[in-house]
Amino acid sequence: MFFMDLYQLMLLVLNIACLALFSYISTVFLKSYLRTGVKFLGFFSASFMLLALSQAASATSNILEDPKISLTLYTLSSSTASAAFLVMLFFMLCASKEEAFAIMPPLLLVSFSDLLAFTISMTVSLLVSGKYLRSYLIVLSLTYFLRGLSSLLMLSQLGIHLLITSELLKASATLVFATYHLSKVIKP
Amino acid sequence: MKKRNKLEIILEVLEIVSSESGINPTWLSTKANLSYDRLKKILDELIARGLVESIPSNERKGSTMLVLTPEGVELLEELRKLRSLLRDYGLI
Repeated sequence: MFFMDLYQLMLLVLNIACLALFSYISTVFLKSYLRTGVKFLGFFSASFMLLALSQAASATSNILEDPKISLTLYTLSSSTASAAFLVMLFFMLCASKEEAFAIMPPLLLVSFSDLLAFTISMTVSLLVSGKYLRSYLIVLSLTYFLRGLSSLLMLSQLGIHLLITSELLKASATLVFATYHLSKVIKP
Repeated sequence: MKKRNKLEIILEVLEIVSSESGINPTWLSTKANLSYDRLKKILDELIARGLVESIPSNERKGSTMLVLTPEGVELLEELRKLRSLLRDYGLI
């Protein structure tokens, strides 16, 4: 028990130290961005801010007693970290760093797993030719979007409502989808 | 020669103006290896942001010289701090 407490304390200290450092780096980038208007400095600032947020979520998830909130924050910490590295990776690979900023918001969005599912299923829905199939995929995409949004807003009442709505919508849409497929299969 | 991005150009312009306080725009464009039009665009932005000041030259009547404002000096310090990190990421 003592070692567990010590371990948790150590993790907390490390996470808070990283949070402070990432926040500082983000501020330096942000100040430079505001003074120069060079956009990739702004996105680098956002990237380090996401890393700081990831550390904050990780630190909070360690100290909270409620397992549901703790798990949500734990998931949020990896999502925000992946979003941060995605921004960095993009700027490192992109030759034209000044024009790259336009693609950043969707990149940030898709880095959250539910929003990635939303993007992919929405893309599939645009490619299929069947009218009903497309409608189903659009509904399914929206449920992923709502779920992604709900995971970001989990700590508020709205987040919980969104999650309940999206799950209900998905279950209903899936039943319609399954029925549609069945009707196709059993049609003489 | 590798194409410089906007940040690299700004950094270089600020460094030259800082080391040669009172430099005129034509000489700056030569030293920064920029066309005069490109430099003018950058300079207009830096002046509008209050980082560089264009003042009348003492030596030649009708010409101007460039100096860093205190904000420009501060920014240069900050960009120097970031330079090594940005180089590590391959951004400059």
